[in-house]
Amino acid sequence: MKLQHLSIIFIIIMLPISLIISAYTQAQIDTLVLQNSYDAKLMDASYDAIKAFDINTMNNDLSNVADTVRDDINAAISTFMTSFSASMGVPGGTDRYIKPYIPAMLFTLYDGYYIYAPTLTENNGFAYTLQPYNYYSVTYKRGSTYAVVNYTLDNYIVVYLKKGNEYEVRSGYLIAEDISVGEENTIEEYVPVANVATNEVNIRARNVTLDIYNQETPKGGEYLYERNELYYINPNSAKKYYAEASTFTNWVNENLKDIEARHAMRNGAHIFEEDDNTKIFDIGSNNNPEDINSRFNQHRMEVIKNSIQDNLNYSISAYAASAGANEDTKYNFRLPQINPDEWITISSNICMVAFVQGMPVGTRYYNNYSIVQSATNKFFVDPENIYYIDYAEDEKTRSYHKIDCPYLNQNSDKITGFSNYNFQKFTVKISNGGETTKQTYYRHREGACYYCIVGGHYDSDSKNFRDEYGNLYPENLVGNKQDAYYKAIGREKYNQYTTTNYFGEKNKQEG
Amino acid sequence: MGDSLITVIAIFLAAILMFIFPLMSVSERNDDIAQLSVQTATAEFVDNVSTTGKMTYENYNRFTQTLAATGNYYDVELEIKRLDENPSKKSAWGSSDRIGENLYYSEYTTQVIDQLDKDGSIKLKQGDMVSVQVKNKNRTIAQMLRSFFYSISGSDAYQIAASHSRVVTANAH
Ligand SMILES: [Zn+2]
Repeated sequence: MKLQHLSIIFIIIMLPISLIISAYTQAQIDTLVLQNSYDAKLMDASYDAIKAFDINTMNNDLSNVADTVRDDINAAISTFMTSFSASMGVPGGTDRYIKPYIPAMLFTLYDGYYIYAPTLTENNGFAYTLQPYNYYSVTYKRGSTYAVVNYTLDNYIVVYLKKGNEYEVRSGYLIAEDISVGEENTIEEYVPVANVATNEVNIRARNVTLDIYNQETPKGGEYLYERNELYYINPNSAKKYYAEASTFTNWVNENLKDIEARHAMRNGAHIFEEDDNTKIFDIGSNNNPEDINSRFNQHRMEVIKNSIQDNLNYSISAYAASAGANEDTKYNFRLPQINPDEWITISSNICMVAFVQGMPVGTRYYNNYSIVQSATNKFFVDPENIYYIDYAEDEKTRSYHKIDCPYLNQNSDKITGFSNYNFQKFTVKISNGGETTKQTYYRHREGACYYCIVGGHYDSDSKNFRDEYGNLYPENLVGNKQDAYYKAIGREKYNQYTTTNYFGEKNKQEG
Repeated sequence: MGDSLITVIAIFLAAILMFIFPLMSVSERNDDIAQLSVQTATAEFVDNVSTTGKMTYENYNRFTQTLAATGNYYDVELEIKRLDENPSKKSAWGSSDRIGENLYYSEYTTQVIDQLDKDGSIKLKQGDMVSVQVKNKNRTIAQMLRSFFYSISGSDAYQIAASHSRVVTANAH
């Protein structure tokens, strides 16, 4: 056989192989590109949704009330669906094509969570509904002691205790040690002020620690519009916070000290190992509820994770069981593995998690989830989201900082911190003779510091009071910053509205 | 005489067909696979920064190691766009419904790397943007072979390139 023939045969063999491999690799690349673009679309839609949630709850004075939160969450879900559908190129922005691929969405709030999932209706269709609210609760059974504990995203808990025949319900914040804080500075904020004589409403700087003055009890010919309780800050808030938290912690130590992780039960079954004798409620400096690594916090996050996992699993497998009949999505839906870091995020922040599964992408199915956290909200006090102003600085040039910013003068005794939502834009509706106008304003005129907040720079000293994960240890803060930190946390937490505040009344009487 | 000329041409052709052609084909596939992993690594790196609000030295290292594992050298361009809401706050002041425009300012590759070296990580906040562009710096075998045959040149002819850009969705701690 001649050489020419050999080469022709070689080409005949090689060419198709090469073409097939090329086509295959190209298909893989196309799939991957498509997958990446779906990732981006999913994340963008989720981001739009959490932004919508933040903005809606921000300007809603009732947003801590469960029913209004439901509305805000439904609005966020519809933002997500619309945004995701639109970016996927679904004509008319209808979410009908997207929904079957979303077996569940999760919203973690301060003391519980919502699951949004398709549920089978009587006529074999799917109703996409927000399920009833689930509390982060767990039951402990030890001898004759029976306790239901509702956890939250921070160190606040509600305890329903039954000892023998005696019941008691208490709620409060757990702290490792009583902290004494200095006098609260005068807090001036820009607030809507109504003139009694003219009824005119203007945004003015007022001392909101001074007095409660409402329409019924005006002061100096004016009152704070529309209700003063919304602005008023009790100047003793921080002190009261530590006093009451300390009373509550003592009560917990007294009554729940002997409870161990192995006593925890949900739906009649133990949720931790039988020999897990971690004493969760033995609170003290070696178990500091405000330290993310403490026994209390590790246990709290485990409980939250356990509860969410159970309910998500249940919802998703129920959908999978019925989705077989669904023409659109022949896919085996199941809860994906969520990694430990993500669980920490979920169990310590207001979050939205959206699951997308079974969506055809090239040769495969698209299967992913997004986790986005709310960065600005009124639902709970995150120490990292408290920003500080040094009122000793000139009003025109001062800005707000993170506590560890070197441009925040540690020697100033006029440092005051506020939760970050206070720096957002507020809207007030002013009704004047049947006519309603909207006015936007900021409670604080200061801008964000370019070094710490806008620029995200570290202070080199930060290493002294932050661990490698960036967790802050306030006991290492120097100068007046420590006092400012404890005061801000105390005040913000004390003024935090929760539906269970009522159960904390006893802490006041005893404290 | 005529016969031996044909034989020489035949051998030459055969050499091209039997050696160069498969080599080109294999090297092209090799680049495709490199492209695949570069794209994945870039998206992963950017998405991680976006969801955690933090760019860490370890993550950046892992990213560049994944790139290096493809056997090529790459130009990596990083850009962080910091959201600055202060101007919008000023312009919204006093007006009833006006929404001011948010501004961004950028930090580029050298600044970003310097800060990573110095602090170990970079904190970002919700609303910032992060984007990464990767292009191969060396010429891959496929590129060399191709330019040998069809003499394609010009600086825009990248064989392996990926870019990814995302908005940051979390405040860093
Ligand atoms: Zn600063």
